[in-house]
Amino acid sequence: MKWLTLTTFLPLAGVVILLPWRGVRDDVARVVAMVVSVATFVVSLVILGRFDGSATGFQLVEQATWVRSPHLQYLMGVDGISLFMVLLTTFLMPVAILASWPVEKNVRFYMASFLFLETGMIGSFLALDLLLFFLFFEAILFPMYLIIGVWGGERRVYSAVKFFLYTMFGSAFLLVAILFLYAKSGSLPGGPTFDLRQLVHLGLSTAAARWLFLAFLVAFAVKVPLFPLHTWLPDAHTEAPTAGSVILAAILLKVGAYGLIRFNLALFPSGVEYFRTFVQVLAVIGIVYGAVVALIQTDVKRLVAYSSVSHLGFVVLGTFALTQQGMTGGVMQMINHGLSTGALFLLVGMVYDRLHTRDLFEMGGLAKGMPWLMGAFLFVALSSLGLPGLNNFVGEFLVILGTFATNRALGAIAATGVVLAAIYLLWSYQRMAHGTVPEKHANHPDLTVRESAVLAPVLALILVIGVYPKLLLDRINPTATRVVNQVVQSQTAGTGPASGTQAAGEGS
Amino acid sequence: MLKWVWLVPVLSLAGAAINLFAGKKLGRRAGWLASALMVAAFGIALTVLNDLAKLPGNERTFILHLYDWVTVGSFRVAVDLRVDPLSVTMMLVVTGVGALIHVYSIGYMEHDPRRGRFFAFMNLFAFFMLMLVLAENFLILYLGWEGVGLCSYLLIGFWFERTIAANAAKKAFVTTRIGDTFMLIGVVLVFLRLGSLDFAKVLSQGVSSSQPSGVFTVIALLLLAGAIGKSAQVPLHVWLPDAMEGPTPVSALIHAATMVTAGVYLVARTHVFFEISGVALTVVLIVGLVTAVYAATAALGQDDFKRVLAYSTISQLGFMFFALGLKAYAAAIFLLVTHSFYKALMFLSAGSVMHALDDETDMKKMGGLIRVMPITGTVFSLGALALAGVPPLAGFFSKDQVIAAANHGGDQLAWVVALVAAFFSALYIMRMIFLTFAGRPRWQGHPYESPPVMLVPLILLAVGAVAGGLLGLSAVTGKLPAFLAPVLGEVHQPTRGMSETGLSLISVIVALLGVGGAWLVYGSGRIDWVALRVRSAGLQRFLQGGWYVDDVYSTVLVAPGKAGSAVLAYVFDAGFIDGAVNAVGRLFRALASVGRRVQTGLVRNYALAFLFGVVAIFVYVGFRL
Repeated sequence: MKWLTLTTFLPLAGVVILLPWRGVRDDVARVVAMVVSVATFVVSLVILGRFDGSATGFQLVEQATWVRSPHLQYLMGVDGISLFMVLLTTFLMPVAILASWPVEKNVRFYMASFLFLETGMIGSFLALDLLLFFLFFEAILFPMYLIIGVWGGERRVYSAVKFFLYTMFGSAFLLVAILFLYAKSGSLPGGPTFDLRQLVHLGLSTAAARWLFLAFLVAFAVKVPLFPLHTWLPDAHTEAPTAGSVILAAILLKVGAYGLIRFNLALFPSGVEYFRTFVQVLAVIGIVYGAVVALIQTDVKRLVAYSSVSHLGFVVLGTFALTQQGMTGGVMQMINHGLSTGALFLLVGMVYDRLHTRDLFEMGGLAKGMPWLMGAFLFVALSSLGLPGLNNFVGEFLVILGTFATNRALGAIAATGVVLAAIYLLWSYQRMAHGTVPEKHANHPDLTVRESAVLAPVLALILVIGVYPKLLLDRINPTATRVVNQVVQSQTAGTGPASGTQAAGEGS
Repeated sequence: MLKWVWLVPVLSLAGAAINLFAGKKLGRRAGWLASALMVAAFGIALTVLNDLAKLPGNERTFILHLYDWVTVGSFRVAVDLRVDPLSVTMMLVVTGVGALIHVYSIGYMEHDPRRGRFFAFMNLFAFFMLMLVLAENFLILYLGWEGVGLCSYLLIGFWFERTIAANAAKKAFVTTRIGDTFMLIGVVLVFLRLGSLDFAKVLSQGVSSSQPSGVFTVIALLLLAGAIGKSAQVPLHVWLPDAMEGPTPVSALIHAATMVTAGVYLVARTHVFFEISGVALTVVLIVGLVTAVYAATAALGQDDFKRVLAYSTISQLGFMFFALGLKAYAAAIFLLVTHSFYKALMFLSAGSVMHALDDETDMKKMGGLIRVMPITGTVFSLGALALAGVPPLAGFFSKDQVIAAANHGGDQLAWVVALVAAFFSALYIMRMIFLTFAGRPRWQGHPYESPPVMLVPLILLAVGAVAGGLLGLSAVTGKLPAFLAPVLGEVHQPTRGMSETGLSLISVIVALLGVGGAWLVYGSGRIDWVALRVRSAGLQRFLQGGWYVDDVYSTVLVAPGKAGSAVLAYVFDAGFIDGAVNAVGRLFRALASVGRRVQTGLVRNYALAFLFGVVAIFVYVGFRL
């Protein structure tokens, strides 16, 4: 059974059902989307079950020639990093769809857009052929553009266009770089190819590797987003409907971080060597800058959006530390940020549904009437600010540890992001939950059954990962180690065995 | 029983979970459940102590492995619990004093509709505090460390409708987190330099040869920053007086008896690092001494009697740090234990007074309360006299040992300054007695004595405050110092300085001078203290404002921080970066409309034009490489 293909294209089957089905009742459309997304999640669990945690390479590889010339292959495979990106996607999609139940406008197209988006995202994480990846990568763009532009808030068109343009800007560089790599790959034994596994062996000149690194970097840095390419994010998040924000933050941003790990690190080691500190400095600026700007936001969605800039900085910082701990921590933060920030957007959406405002200064005292909703918000906020025992702490700690081992100053500055996170998250919680309730907001209901069902799985995972992170670490670590070793080895090729892949204690 | 020690924290955790989800249904039983679990935990802790004491002195360390927490390459951290004399001592204080405070809270919180949540948070606090003291490695300790901070946040802001309480909660969390972040970097450094986070591996004397001593100085100072935040030492002490906005049992448990002592515990636990460094030990001493004097003077200026106790706690913690800095670790822990008795006692008595006076905390509106609340008044006075250092109460022995250690350490200046702090301690605490319980009544309403459920814990704590000295009658041979010796080192007979008897005599004289001074001004009726207040209004305000440290922080740090953040957000981010982006967007829109004069498919048009342009440029550049 081709489980990767099934997981990738099952959501597309939902699109095929929904799109031509004119006049389908809204409830039916919702249920179809829910069933399809849950089925996709179940199928993805099979991948998890069949995944060999101790192996470091790509698994469950599916390969077929698609076009002979140019040599384009349908090539899919999974490793310890993409595995969890796929699971995060399939896990959060039913959550997002259940959270979208109150959407009334063009429900059929709305659901179809989300399912189409899911195929694009899963495909991006699984494709091992660069052009195939590019196709999936671009396939994400269109449904997301629609989701923001059609179902978004007041400034939705401006935000959607901005999102589209920003990403197109990066994609242009990416496409050219991919084509350039293809042109160069004729020297490989198997002839020209887009196969990532082959391209790794391509002997690029240092100059070419640097240019290509930069082209890939721009494409993915926009997605991450890395400072200073982040300004589309607050607008897109603020205007997107709740589920759109959730998927955008939880998964779309990860495509960028994933791309940096999968392609930048694997393909251009000499580019990594050259730009590594530059990227890490941008990441640290992002950590502090995102947090400082979040401090002053009064729109709670913008606040969470800027917190994403800060948190994604940790991901990039850790992965570019090129230590085992930093890489594993960075990948873990991709998952953790997906869960925590996803949950924050869900909760903010629930607050908005009741109050019809995102302005923190119009809120207050909500903990009195809605103890469970506010309790859930506090729980997620605590996870996001790195409270030990919840998910984010382990990842953040590993990132700081892994970074500190190679660059003390950056590790130390990054740690200040932890203090700032406490300030802006607790401030926003206090504005919402504490104090006295404005008259008009005194009688809102607490969490409904549907909302509890939306939140419960996410909150449970946040706790489970915090208490028992081995579930993730044991599967991520072998792959993370391989990725780091490959970069370090090819950098130090000829100068002796690789060193510094571990933040090992000198006294041990 | 040693391997059942995991039950001690887990019982509290279970209580927290039950009360969080079913506290409303349990109603009044919520408090009894939480208290019963704490009493059970105390019982188990006692059997653990018993079992540990059966072992020979140098084998009194037991490590219980529960499961692997974080494992990445050579970095391995497990959920391991450590049972040794120091952790057992702390565990007994947390569960013992904790259980009494829980029982007291049943009465104190009786009419609060959210008492289920209150007890859930109290139990959760006990869980994290127990993890903190039982941790066998730095990361589990950090888990407990942050966890107690969270519970402190939740409980200070328990009455969250009051903005002042909500602000105090946030201030406490953020201020301590500044220290915690330094500490976290210290933990990272411990691993990178020493190769492990396990106490058993890194906290041995042999570790000194593995790294230059400068490394230990850095590590120790980073850990100390965490301790300074948590234990409210200068300069991160500002959160504690505000934390008094929480319910009074919270102040007793978290902000007097247990959480704030975590910093003392941390330094005692990692004293090996401090000793190797030497410099770090001196810093501990100075921080402690400065804090002890500073907070004692500030306590003298407070009218709110909970704030007197808050500054008093800061000052007493300063004494403990001072002792640590003198390498008198056992004396520091002894003071920690006795302080937890008498300060919890005083806070809870203060809670009874608030109960009786409709939450009044202004001492100007009290006076003469001993007549209506004889038991509360008596036990409070016992606690106060213990704190003042009047023999033979517990505080006399513990504080005397700290001050004597200064003299024996050879630093006469530090000794004199410590005596000054001791004098102020006696002065402020007796001032409090005279203003609240003695003199003529200045209150209105109908104060009454508290119910038995609140009085019994008070009486038991009073027993501790009176007789706690028995634990350490002598700094060298006392029960507690001897018990702690395997962890904290043997206490040796002093070789220099004055004789113990002479030092004790001086301490007693200083304490009595403080008591007498307070009586003269506030109790004798010969001096009009109200007029005195008016005459020295400037000094009064200075002391009441805690030497204006808070105001300095808000002017120098908070206000510029806010302004800077606003500039970044509105000028730089929205104006500069996003302005540039929008300008580029407009440029392409203009180009597209000029070039094609087609308005349909707006996005596609200029995106495509843009795409082709970039492709062309890049292909050109790319193929030339």
